[in-house]
Amino acid sequence: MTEASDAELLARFHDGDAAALEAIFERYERVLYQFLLGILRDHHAAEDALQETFVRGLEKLEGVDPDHLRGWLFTVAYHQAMLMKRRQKNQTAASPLSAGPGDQASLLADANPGPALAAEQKEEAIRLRSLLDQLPDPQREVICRRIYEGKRFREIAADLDCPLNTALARMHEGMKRLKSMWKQNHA
Amino acid sequence: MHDETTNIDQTLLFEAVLYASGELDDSEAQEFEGKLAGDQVAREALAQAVQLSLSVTGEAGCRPSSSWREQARKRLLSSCRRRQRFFAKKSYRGHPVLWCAVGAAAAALLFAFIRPDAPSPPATNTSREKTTTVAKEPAPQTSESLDPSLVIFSPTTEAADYWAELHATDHLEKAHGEQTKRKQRLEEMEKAKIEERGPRPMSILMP
Repeated sequence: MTEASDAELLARFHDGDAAALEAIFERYERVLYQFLLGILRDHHAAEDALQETFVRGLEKLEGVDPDHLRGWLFTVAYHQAMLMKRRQKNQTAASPLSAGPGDQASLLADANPGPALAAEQKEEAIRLRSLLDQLPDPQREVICRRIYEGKRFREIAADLDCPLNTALARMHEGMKRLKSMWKQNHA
Repeated sequence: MHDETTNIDQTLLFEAVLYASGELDDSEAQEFEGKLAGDQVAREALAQAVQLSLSVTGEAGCRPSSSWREQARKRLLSSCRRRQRFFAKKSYRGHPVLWCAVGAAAAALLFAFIRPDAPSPPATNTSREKTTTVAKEPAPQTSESLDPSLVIFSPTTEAADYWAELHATDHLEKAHGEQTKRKQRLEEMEKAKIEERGPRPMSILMP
């Protein structure tokens, strides 16, 4: 069965079809959430911004080409995130952005995951560790220093005596390999 | 179709990774945020960078909780229903401009039919032929035989004539003068009659 286009889903949604709305959520929820998390670095703030993005984005569609829904939602998400970021800055002098370098990874993670989610994450971390051992040394070095030592990429590059972009490229390559190994293990 | 993360420039991706992990200094971060404002590729790069960071911490499948969906669904569907109701009412009532046009057309029709000095409907060709054969006289120039532009303006000129007549006061002044002269003449005649009869006895006037 072919996937419905954005234009079709929007038309159905305007007719009051809740299933079409769910399909739009399902299609863009994850990528927009990741984008918002990248800017806000807080799960709860990203979730609030996500809700506002969908509500405002889908309510004000006049003049928006339905085939460019993805770009439109990203635009709304960006503005929403910037608005929240400004509010965060005004409300708290001690922003999460000013936390130490070792806390960066944990800023992206949910501070209070439920017990089931925590157990699942722990299990995944163990599996990931075993897969990491199968990576080539340069890639494993970068990833381990980043995850387990919580070092910044600049620090890792300095430690390994390589340019910053090389450290990042090793990280990227290592992650791609890990992903494919993960998929093979879970296929 | 919806995965647009494949062709992302590596430099941009690395920049996004550094931004997401808070490793860019303020000016660099601001510059990257400037890119995010209008560059869809940069936005996609940031989403991918975050996915990468989450994979590193074993949270690749991390999703927002379902509560946001519930609230967003409620808000969106209620506003959708409100919009539908609004447009339904609108279509039933009709657009105000439409009603104005209908009213104007009705007024124009009413004016055309009720006007007392409206020209009689144009005679058909056959009736006109009959009149010409019977009378054999040059027909008086009617509005139909005149120049079309004059026909169009004839009601206006007639109205102007009536208006001019209403406002002309010469004939009224003349009539008023004649009436006063007549009165004076009658008064003089009555005086002359009284003088001829002599003074009236007081007994008639007083008991």
